[in-house]
Amino acid sequence: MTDIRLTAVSKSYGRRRVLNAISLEAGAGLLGLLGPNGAGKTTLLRILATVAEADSGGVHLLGQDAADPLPRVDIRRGLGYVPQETGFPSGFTAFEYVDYVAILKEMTDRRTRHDEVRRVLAVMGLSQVARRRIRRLSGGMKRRLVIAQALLGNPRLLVLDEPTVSLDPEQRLRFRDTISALAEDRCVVVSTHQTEDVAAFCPRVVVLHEGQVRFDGAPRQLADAATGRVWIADRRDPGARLAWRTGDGPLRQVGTPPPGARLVQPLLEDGYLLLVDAAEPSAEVTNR
Amino acid sequence: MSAPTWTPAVRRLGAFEAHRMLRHPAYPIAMLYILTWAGTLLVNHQGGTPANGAYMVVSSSLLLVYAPVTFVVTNRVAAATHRSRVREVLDSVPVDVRQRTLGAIVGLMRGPVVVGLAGAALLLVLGRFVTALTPVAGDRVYQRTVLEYLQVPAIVLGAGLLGIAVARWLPWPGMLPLTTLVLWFGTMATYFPFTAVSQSGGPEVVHARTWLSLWPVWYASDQGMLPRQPLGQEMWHLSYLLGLGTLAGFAALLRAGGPRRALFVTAGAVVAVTAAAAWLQLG
Repeated sequence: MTDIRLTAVSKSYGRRRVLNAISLEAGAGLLGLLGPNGAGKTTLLRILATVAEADSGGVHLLGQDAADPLPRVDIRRGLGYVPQETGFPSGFTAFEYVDYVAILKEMTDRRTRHDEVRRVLAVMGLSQVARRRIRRLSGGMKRRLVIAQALLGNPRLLVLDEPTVSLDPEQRLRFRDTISALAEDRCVVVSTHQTEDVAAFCPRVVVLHEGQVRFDGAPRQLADAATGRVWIADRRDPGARLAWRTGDGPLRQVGTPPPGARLVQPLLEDGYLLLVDAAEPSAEVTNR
Repeated sequence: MSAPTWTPAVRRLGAFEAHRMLRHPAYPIAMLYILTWAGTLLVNHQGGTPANGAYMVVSSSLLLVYAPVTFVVTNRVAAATHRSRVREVLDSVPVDVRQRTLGAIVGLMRGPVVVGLAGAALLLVLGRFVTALTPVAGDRVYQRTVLEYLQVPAIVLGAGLLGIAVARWLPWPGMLPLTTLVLWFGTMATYFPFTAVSQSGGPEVVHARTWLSLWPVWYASDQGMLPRQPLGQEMWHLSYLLGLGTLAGFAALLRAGGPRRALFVTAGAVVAVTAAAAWLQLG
């Protein structure tokens, strides 16, 4: 079943066109969204979360038209959303905040709702701090709290905008575990700057740049796009568009290798860098 | 076509918001102030007989402390979940901003207004009790009717609804104290004509304009009490207060988006009733 169907979706803020006739379909599974700052990822996710409306084009989510008010309420009943930046109402404990969102998600039976709140807090490892005021939680805990509210009611569509920001390595691994399990039977869209996250657990990646889809396929395909264009050497070569020193010592370089260069297996980030860099020739990242 | 505004989730939200409002830290601070004041009256033997003093403390606490604090509390509670970064999550859920505003209104009625009603009932009982135990006629408080006492929760309701409306229409920093000042000086402007007459030592005459903001009149004499409203007018003042409060509620809902025609029609009718009540209470 197609949970997301976008047809030529465009969105502008003033004169600036943020999304330019984007078309996209997705069903159950994990979809990773990559792109540089200002590529339009957050705007796209806000449209998927029904928080923003497209200027033009069709947005069908969970089989319903998001432009119509009544179906939009139905869509929201099956939606979980983690925004890029979130504030919290003052004075709430972690439990109260998730409980409040649960009421807004129409969970009216008190006992069932509280059981569900306890469940999602436990999934995100927050049971111990459930009664603590949110202002006393660490940045990572606050991030997990936002993810916890998105999991309420087992939504059929999860929209996560940079969910792993502020999470420590262990929490990120736990998050991957949780989200991978959830994506078995529902659509999960994850936007991130962490290419290793996408490579690790997304079977499909979409690269957005300047409001357009530049790549849509498997992470391996994106990495393979850099085959023959990644090499290591002790010095920076003239053909390198990007180069950085690895932990082992030599420079890892991406670009046009010199004859006889020591080619290495490209990673997802190599393909991504070449894709984005091709669109912005002036951009150059070096760390000699 | 839009989704229905009144749903079981809104009812549940109202209970949640009532809990939030009643637990707001402004109330314990206000209570501390009231207790300190009551203690001062007791120690200094002010306020007439103890029963008379108790009546004064309860009535003025409700009108001069509890109602204004309710304005602040509902404003803070409604504003806390309305800031843009907080709303990013809340705008993706089925219960929309209009329903959340309605939830805050229900919370006000289930929480602070119930306390106001209880206070009015306490005043009613206390008033009877005070009169029976006060042998000197000059020390007796003037007995008021149920309709007059119901003006207390009506003022609490209006203050709370105004707080929610301000949270929706003026969500910027500094707007709450500014609105409080405007309300304060507005009330003083209505109150002033009466004060001038009272301080001159002449007979206690209530200027017609004072009836538009009647509650200060309760405390305008030396004993803190004035004669009752003219018979038959207390109902109009209660209607007028309820009308003003309801209009504040409509203002809050109008800001929350969604279909507005029914709201405008109902608000128009309430404006007419409120204006008529204001006219009739002036005699």
